[in-house]
Amino acid sequence: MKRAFARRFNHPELLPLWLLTPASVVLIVILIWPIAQGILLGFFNTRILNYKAGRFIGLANYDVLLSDPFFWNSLKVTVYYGVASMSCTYLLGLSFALLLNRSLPLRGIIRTIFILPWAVPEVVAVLIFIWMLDAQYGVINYFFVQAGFLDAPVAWLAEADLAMPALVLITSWHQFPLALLILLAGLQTIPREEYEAAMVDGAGALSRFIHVTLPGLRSVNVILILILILNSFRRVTMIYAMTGGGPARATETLSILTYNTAFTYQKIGYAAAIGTVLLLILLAFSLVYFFTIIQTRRGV
Amino acid sequence: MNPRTKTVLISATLFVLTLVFAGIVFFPYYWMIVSSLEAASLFEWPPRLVPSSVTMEAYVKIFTERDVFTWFKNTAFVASTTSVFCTLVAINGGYALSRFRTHATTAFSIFILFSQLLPATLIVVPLYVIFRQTGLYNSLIGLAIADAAFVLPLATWLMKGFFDRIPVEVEEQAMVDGCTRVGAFYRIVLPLALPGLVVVVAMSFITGWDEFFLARTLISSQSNWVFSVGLTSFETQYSIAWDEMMAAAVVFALPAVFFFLFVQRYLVSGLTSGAVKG
Repeated sequence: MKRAFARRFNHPELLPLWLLTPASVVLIVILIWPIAQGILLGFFNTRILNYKAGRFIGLANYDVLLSDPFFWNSLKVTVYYGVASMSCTYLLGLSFALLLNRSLPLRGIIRTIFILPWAVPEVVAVLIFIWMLDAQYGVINYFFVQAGFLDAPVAWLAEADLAMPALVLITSWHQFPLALLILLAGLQTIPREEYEAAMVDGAGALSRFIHVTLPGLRSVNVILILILILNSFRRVTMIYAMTGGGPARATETLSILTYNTAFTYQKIGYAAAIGTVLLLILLAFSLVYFFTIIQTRRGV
Repeated sequence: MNPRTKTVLISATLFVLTLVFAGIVFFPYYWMIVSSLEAASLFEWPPRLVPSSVTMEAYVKIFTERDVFTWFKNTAFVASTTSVFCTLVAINGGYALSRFRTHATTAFSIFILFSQLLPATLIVVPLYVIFRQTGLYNSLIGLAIADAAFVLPLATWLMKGFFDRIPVEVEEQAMVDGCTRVGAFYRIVLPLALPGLVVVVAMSFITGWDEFFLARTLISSQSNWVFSVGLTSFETQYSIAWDEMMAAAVVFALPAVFFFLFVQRYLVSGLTSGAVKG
């Protein structure tokens, strides 16, 4: 009996099933079930106070959404934030990766310093920057005034057109180490001979960068840019703790709009509809992204 | 100028440039520490880049006048529970993904990729409703379970990577010697994967430690606050106690930074799913 059980348990078709059961249960209960619920909730008029008893209203939430100026504003903010933070993070990561990808005294220590921003909890990063950006005593204002960029200190997080640059600044400070490490790993896969061959052909530094380094980073870039964009679309903690979406909704990405609609305006059903649209955007973006890349690869 | 001097000059310039950038990148850290140590001259214009006097006052204050101990205790509890729970689950899943090719493992791998697309806000809205209905709302255990589920895909994927590096012959030999499949896994393979196990434990611990968004949403009473939520409470009616806030930030960040520097290499290879070697 015991042996029969052991044999069945160890069966090569069934064993992976047993092993995956705990993980599947957790993911179904905490991720898949809520996602399904979330998509469903989008068809209900549920509010926080009556969270047990929402009424089915069909596509009414989506109908409201299409004519909701805050939704369209949010969509613009999401794209702005995604493109700006991705570009800044990528450029910082690439510059530092190029600097670190050479024999350097104290390389280990310097590498660690460049990774430190990523190690700090997001909330701490946000608090440090709120303090550094403070309108009265902020050290960033001091530097900018000293350098002549500003005439007088400004309230970064209270001005609609300055809050987003401030948010992009903190995002790229916190996230560039991820880009740095991935690009550094990518740089190290480019064979030294390719650089030497280019030098023999008389290529200068810039030409070597364009003809050897960039093509060598191609496959790494594909995955890195996708990660950076998806992360920026899904990011909550940093934006929520930094601005909460304000001032005047200037930093309210779709993720934050979903959260605020649910927990500030207490419209759970409508929030779920916004979240579902965000999910569809992420899915569509990923599919188009991979499709385009596969197409261009075939073309080459 | 001869070419050799030119090369040396370029290297030296680039080195100095690297140091300057490292200084800029490190500055927010420096400013956090300096602000936590400087009580008297904190609110001055122009700001003092080097403190005139150093005091531990803010640190004493946060431990005596604020609930830092409670936050610390709650956070440590949530982080360890997340870590243990997530690791136990990830070990089994990771092993299955590494060693078997069945419909179940394929489906699971696809879901791991898919989970990287799910917006956390869409999950947390219904999760809030579910937690209210099941009584998990405002419980630290509930929060730890949610945290664990959010890191589980990455943890499973990392664990798979570590198992992949152990040759299959190890188990085959053990099974020839009379071990069952499961026995070979737990008694032979798992001890060999210990370094990977430590990485997954540390990574899920940090995730539980740092987490803010779920804690903010799923915890209501002040006695159940975790550190990240408590940190944002330093605003009083009139002003923000920046020195105390920065002191608390240092205390909170220290364990996270320590663990993080240890796992960062593996994190990169996990995030890129083996597209690059980290």
